[in-house]
Amino acid sequence: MKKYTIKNSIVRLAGMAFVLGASTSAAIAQQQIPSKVDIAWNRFYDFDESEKIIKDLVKAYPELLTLRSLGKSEQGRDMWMVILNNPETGEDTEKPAMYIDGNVHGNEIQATETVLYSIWYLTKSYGEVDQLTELIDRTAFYFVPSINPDGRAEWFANPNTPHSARTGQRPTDNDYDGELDEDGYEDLDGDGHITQMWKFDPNGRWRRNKLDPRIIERVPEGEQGELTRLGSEGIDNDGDGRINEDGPGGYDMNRNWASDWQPNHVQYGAGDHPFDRPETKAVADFILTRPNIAAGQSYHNTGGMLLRGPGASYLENLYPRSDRQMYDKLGEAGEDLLPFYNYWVIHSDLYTVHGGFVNWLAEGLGIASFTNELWTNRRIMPDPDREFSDEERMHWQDRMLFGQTFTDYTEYDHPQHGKVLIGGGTKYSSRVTPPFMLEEGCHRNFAFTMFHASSMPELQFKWAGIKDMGDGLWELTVEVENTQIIPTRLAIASRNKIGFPDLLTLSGAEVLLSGQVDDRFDQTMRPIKDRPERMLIEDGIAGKSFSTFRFLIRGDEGKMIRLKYEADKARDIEMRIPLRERDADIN
Amino acid sequence: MSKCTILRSAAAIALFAGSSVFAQPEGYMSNDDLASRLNQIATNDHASLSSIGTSLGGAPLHLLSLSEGEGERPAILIVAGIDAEYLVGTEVATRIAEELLEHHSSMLKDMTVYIVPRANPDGAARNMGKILSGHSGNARLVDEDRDRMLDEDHADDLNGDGIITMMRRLEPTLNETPSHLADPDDPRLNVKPDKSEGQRAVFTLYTEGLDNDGDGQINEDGFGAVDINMNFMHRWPEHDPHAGRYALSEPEAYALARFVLDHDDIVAAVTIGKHDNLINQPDAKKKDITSRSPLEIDAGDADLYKEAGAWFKDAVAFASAEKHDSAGSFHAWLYAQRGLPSFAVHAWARPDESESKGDREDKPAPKPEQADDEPQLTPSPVGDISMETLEELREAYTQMTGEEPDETMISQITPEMVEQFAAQLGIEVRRVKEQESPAAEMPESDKNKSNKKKLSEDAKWLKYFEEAGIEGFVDWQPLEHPTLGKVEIGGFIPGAKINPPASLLDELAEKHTDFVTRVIEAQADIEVLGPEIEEIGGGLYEVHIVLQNNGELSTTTSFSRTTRSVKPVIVRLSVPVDQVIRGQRVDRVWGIEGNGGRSAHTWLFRTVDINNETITIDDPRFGKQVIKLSGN
Repeated sequence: MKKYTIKNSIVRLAGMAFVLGASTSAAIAQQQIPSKVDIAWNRFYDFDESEKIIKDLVKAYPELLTLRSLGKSEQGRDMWMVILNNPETGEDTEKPAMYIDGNVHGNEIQATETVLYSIWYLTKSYGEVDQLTELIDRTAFYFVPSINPDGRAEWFANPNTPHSARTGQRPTDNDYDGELDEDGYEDLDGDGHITQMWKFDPNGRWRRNKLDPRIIERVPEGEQGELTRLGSEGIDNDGDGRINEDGPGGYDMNRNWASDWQPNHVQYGAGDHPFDRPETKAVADFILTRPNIAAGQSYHNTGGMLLRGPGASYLENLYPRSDRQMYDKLGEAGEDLLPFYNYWVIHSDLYTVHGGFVNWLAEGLGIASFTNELWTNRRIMPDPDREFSDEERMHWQDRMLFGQTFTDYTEYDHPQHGKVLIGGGTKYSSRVTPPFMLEEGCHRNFAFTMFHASSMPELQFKWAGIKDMGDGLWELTVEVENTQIIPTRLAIASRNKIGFPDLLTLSGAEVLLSGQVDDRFDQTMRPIKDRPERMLIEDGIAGKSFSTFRFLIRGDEGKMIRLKYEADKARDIEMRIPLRERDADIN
Repeated sequence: MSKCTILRSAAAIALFAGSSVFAQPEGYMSNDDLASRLNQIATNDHASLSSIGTSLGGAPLHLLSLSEGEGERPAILIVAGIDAEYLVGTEVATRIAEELLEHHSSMLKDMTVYIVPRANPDGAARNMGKILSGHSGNARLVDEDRDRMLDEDHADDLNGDGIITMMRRLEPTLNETPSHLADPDDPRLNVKPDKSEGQRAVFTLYTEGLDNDGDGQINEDGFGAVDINMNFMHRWPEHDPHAGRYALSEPEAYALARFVLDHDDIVAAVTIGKHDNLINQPDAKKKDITSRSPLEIDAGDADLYKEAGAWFKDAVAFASAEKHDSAGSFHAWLYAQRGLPSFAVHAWARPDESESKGDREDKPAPKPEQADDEPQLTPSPVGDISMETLEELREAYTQMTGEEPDETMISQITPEMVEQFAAQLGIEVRRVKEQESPAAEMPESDKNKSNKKKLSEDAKWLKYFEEAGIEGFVDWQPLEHPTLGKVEIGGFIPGAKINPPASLLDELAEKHTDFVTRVIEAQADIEVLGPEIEEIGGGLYEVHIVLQNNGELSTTTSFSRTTRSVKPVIVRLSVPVDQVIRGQRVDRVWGIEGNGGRSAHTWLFRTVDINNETITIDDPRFGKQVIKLSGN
């Protein structure tokens, strides 16, 4: 085994820093560590800009970062992945790893900045911030800042609503007329946003608010209205009498994953089969090569939530109690770090999702996974616990955002509907974090995700006892400890036979029997007689816990034996001890 | 952790270099033989040979396309050889192509026939090697016992006869409970003890082989593979080791799915192999776990399957067929998600179970109630497994693990899993007999001796093999096994119950061709009636057209109108939308019933010149036609 200690690498790195003359004084280091790449975190980056940031970071921190394209999107953009790993402490595949992505829905843009911020903060902290340095030395990270590059590019490049460009950009026949993407939105008033259209109609059931005409409100029973809602800005491009019924794309890549995938008539946007989009296929192909991924996070917007599976009520019991308890520990920690965020279960607290990404990670691959829904409008209000009226909301929009996310209503002569009003919230309203609050949002979510990452299993031999049973027979009892919250094998994995059981191997002496025991004082066990030197441990080692194993061995006193504990989602550990009476902790 | 040792058959490597008499089923085509025969067929002007993809092992997945003349037309898809052991399907599918070209080529003017005769060539090759072991699945390696060693404990041909059969361990050690005894009526057969007859189990059963990896299990991790027919999306059995890592993870399954998704012309499919939904009518009531897709078929399509079932019985005269759980199968996906009529049939049935038309009419109607001496069993959501058996399993599970199995486990369980668990726990699997299933009827030969014990399935097979002079069984021979001690090796030859003697293949193929031609004849046939044009004055016109289906079958399944996975016929009027007073300018037809079913379209519109206006009917299967309107 490659001997590895955190201290060693810190010392080595500190040494390097000294040699390079790049040491920073303690006063500056305290939360003001400079990065080699200056990035403003009070703004958003379109796909090309985010690509440049990724490349700049990888260039600036080659000792930690590796860039890799997982494949090409529908429109040929690279699916960039940044692997963060310190090769001095081993290959990424030897360590528990956390997979982090964002922006599967093209319009949920700040997810990408949150991933970029995480890479930026970790790289500048290495060797400077002990906690993060230790974390980097014992784990690896796989970052995919945007897994829907086309959706991101489209959202920035063209007029959109807050909700459009959620899809990927494969042309799709959404209205079954044999034509692809033939009737999308139009920015009729040329303000750069797709807002709402209202038709003047004396029989309409809506009217403009007298005090604030930017608010369109329902008309009370018995009063005269003036407006009828037409929907988003656009015209009937294909002459079928409908507006905007078949815009770009028109599917949902977060319903395209393999666990509980269901066809379109059950789950809108699912695609023809799991991974039938190049983006999801590229990500899945990579993830399937990394059984060491022990934690997963997929950033979305909006609403302020830390979500876990299952996505459908009939899968509720697929999550065994011990796993739910683990999720609770992580989720509750997240609620502390993220004010006004709720730790919720997707199907019961939000809505039903079939074929979602974190569901595949958790249910298909046994990875402890969350989806964070970034940003909640409550963050901008003085009293986030109270529901606000439209007037009050507009007031805060004005005073805080200076009205920047709202386009005033203007009249427009529409080819199908005659005189209409066009206006309303821009694409930056409602779902996107106000830029001045972006950095805080990135940091708080980063902090939660680092807590999640630091909870990935870490093993150590805790204690070993050897008894001389006479005539060359020895009883070896060993305690293997997992010092972190996430078990080496989630219960969902051991129950459903996902991945491989852990493996404890003894070599260097003849093993007659072996087995797991309740504790070191346990006299009896249900021994494995066949191939007892290879003990398969389906349940793994629980979080913040240890398990006890026993071997009956034949060998000469003093002979060195070797114990090795292997787990998919933890770093393997190994030790050598001589066959000699002992009863002591392992240090 | 391997629990299913004795149930898994596995591939083998010969320990003895004994020459094999059986090995490749005689007269059956190897992959090379198949390629040359298909090339021969493709010399016909109306046939062309291509491929839909490549197997994991690199073999081409052949596609024969049969059609005569030019122009768009619908197509029927015939797929065989998904299930590796079912070699007979490939033989029949290939001969269907020959039959169609030789005797029914006029049909190919109106219908394309796509034939994928062997969708799993790697699996087929594994059933045709030197050692016959009975192998389902493709060439994907699966660590079946999940011990981090791959395929380290396969079956072994201990007696050197070239066949992997069974072992009876005659003197099991005390920690192994005997499970079977030799059938007193025919000691070649293994039966579980009938306690009411005072029977006692004396031996345990294993597949022929050694404990190659010294883990105490025999053959628990042989050539494990992914079953292509468990790798599709409808009710994909996610955590089953033979279901693949994700739906369509296997190149064979992906190629089939891709071909179907890329071919809007396909109107129906026939899959020849392990599954059957025509002799055993599919369930038309139950829903799957989402409650939004049918478990098997939607009630609206029950008649379609009844009709096709009658055609199939007429053609092949099979009396019964074994039913398997269709979770993850190709044919189930074609129906439940693609919305196509998808008929799954066996290529062959044991002749004593076949019956002529006359025989069937003589038979008494199936009894509505089960026999009095049999306890009434309650149906469960798990195939034909009874609720009573599930309850027993639940208790056993609770005893074993100390916790109740959760509902998810129960909802995801398949009949095959029940069989495996039950075998390990020594629980008898009690099945609910389908009232309508001919399998539940008493076989002809037993009618006059109803007091006498019925022949078991295995006994019927032995009887058939003897009568037909087929070597389908290896007699038990003693052997000293390195870890099991005294054993006897013998039993049914893998595949013998599935693949008939080659001499029967031509006749079988003729019968199947009768069925296929019947399906082709029944297909939808659309006629456009009209237009009728009424001039109202002031440039106003009312126009009617009707699309009428003169074929027997509906243009689409009833359920496809829910899935919307079959592209609609698009009916388009040229008049601008703001001049249309009544009717959809762009209309979609999702399906038209058979036997004169209609889709009526009416528009009222204003135009300057009716002679400039058209109606376009764009049918993804039959092609496009433009109807010019004209005034009087």
